[in-house]
Amino acid sequence: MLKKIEAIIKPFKLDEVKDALNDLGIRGMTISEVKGFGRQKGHTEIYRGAEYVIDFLPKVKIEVVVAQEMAGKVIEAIQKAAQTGKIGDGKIFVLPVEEVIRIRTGETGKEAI
Amino acid sequence: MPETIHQKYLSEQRQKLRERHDHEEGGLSVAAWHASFIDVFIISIFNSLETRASLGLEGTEQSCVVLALGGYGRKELAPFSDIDLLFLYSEKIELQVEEVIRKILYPLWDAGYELGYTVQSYKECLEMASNDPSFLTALLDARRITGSSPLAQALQNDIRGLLKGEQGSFWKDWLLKEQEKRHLRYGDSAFFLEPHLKEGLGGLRDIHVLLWIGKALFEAPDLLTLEKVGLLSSEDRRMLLHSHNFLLRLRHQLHYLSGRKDDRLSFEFQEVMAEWSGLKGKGDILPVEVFMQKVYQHLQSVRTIHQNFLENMAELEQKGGKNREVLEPGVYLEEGRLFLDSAKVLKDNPSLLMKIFWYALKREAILSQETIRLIKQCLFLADEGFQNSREVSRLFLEIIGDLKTSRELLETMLQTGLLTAYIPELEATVCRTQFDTYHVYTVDIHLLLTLVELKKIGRGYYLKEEPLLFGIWGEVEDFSILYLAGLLHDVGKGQGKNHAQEGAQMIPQIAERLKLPLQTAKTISFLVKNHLLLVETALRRDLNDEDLMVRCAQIIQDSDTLKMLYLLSFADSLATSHQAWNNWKSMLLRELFFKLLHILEKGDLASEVVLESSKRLVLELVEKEIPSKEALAFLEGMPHSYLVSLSPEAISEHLRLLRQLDGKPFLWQVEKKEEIYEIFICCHDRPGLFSRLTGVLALNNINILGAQIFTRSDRIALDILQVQPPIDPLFVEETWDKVYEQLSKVIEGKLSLDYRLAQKKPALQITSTPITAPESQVEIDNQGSDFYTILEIFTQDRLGLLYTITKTLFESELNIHFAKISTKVDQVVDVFYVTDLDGQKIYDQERLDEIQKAILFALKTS
Repeated sequence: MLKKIEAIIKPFKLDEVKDALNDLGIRGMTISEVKGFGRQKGHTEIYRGAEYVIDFLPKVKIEVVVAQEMAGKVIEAIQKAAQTGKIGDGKIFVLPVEEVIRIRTGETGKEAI
Repeated sequence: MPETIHQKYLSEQRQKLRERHDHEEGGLSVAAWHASFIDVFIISIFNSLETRASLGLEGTEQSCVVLALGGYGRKELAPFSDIDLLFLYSEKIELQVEEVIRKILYPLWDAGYELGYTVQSYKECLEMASNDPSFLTALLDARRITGSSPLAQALQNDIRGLLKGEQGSFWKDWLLKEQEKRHLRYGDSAFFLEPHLKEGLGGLRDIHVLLWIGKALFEAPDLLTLEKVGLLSSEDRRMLLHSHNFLLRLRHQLHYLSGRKDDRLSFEFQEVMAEWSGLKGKGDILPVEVFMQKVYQHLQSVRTIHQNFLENMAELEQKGGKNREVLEPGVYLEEGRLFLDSAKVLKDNPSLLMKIFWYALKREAILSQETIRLIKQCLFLADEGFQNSREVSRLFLEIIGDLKTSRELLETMLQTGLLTAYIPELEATVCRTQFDTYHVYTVDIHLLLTLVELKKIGRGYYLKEEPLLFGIWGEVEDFSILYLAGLLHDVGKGQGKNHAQEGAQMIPQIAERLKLPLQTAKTISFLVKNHLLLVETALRRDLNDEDLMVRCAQIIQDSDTLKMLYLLSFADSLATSHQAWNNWKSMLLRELFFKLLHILEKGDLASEVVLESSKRLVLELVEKEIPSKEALAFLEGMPHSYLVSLSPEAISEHLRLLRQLDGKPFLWQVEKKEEIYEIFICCHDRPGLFSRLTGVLALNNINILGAQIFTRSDRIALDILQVQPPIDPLFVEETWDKVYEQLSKVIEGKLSLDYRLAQKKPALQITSTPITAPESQVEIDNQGSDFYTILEIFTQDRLGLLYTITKTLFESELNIHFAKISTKVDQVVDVFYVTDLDGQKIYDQERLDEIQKAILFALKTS
């Protein structure tokens, strides 16, 4: 069984999370710059009379696919590294993965991650 | 020949081709050799008498000619290039011929070649040539392989005739437009990083364009003839041949490496190619960086020669134009181009080296090729006297300071070598690359682009996507600072580890030569040194960390510098790569900008110097009683706002008091300050203590005016309250003693505040109930501060009001950081700066609503 772990974290926590995952032996991940909001809402800045709406907040999304045995460790590592204890620390989603195929070789399953 | 022999011939020849390439034969000769064995092959497969007869290739009256087109026609055939053939017939032919041809050509497809062929009658061919300029271009490279020579000759003559007429200029316009499109597409920054050897800027196609123009318009079959016509200098011709050979050889290797027609030097191949080239690294410069630098030099060289060629052509066409305007003796303007009479003009007046660019700017002209040559020859004139000349400095600053100054003009200044001759510190940046996906441009170009990006901001180019930039632009006071910082911010690249620091140290000497005021030089130096500060902080630091923001603001010191730094950060990022920069990053940068601006504009920011001296004073004051290590630890542990807002005397007093805290529930001190009293109280962070203190004060009829609450990292709380003097001036000391005693009792649980206050109430109510009591109001302001939620409470004054409010805040799990209490007649406005227990602003709307309701409820029922 494979699991996909998606974590939305604060941008400045990326390096720490990446290092923590590297320490676990995770070598591949997908990173994207995303915007959104949860309970931490954006706000409006007024500068010299003009309004600048900051409606979505910048976050980083990390995606990793691992074997089920690893999932717990990965989640724990991400949570530990990304936590500041403050609002907007983000969320971790865990999804089942049906199959993985490495395009170059056609390997599947665990071999392919 | 049976088919297998054909196959064998092809594979043997291709093996030999590979060997020739591996033996480091030049790109041009390998490609030509490739074309010639394909020629032999094609001739041989059409060799049977029967075939030749059926295709019209036999006899004295041959009706067909087989022509090679495109790269194959030019004999520039790379290992996996396409092979294009044209079967040209004097008359219209039957359809089945095509089928015969296809069968014969099969072995080429089988061998893996991309083969394209057309069968046309002479009439069709000419018709298409006059309608389709790209076909016409392909015919320029047509080369007879076998079949009727007269037919091939006739085609060549007719094409030439076609181009002599109107068709010629039509074709030229089309070609230049196509080229512009190609440059736009492949000149993109992504292609800068991974250059396309064929289509890219300075790639092989640029060389082909020269050759095509020569063939089509000047009857020049080769470069040498172009030189004779005066379109190429002999130096340029030699360089072009050299680069052509180099680029082709590179392309061949790339084809072999990827095993297919791949003309883009993408990342995955760069290191392997560098290894193949045998180039070594130099110091901390990687081999791949040395290799790419060489590639860029060739591409740049082709690009420059290509531009020179087109310029020469334009000048040639305009020769004899009469609109000559003399700008000053020896300098004139003709059809948008600037000319110099001779090198003597420059020798007599070296500052003209700079002034000619100034003219180009003011007259929106370009430098003629001749002028560029003269400048290159006379660079030795840019000596110390030139570098220190006030006149030259004025011209230079005017050029870089003008919003209209174009990228082209700046690049010309760089390419002629004048820029580096004038500011020699920039020399190390020329053609310097970095092997990563982030730094797209070489450093010298990046510096020019940063300047260009700044001007784009100033011209409102980013008005739609980043309106803030333009707003800030309008507030810059001295643009020369900004422009020079932009041009020089990476001047330290290649000088050592910390390029910003190194660069900043180089500014004073440059500024001195440019005769800049000392303050200007200091600001530029500061901007250069800190040009990464904002981006690095925005992307890598917690922007909700107040102390960090304050420290960052402290480095920057004033909002004018912040604004320039913000603009510079933007221009720098955009000039690094448009792809690498996006709205996501700019949002973070903007958030940081606003936070810093708010801190700086509040204006109560002590500089690092002031702060350090305040710390030092405290250390001196307590020197005799407290070990400096302990004192320092105390100061480091305090929030920034504490150190800034209190005097060294007060701080040292607190320090003394704190040392006695050991085990006691709390310590306090009361001090008379002019008309008011200040209560200082410290304790191990005991939630609700502040609220209880306000209750005790209410019990003793003492009015609170304001409060500041600091919490140390080790959870020791320091509360400072400003209060009105006790009502009875005669027994002040006794009152304070009573307050202290009651507070102790409250903490020990021996005194119930709610009960005591309720007891006290009825007596007062008779006198103070107003006839009309306006509704209480609670307003929540989350915009006013970057780090706190601000609660504003409007209500009727009454006994124990503050106690009621702070108790509610305590129960809502809020920390109070500042409080301001003001009373107008009987209407009270209380302002609280609060955070949650983790020290964060409250964003959750549900929670904010709940807080609001809780306070209103408490106000109504108390």
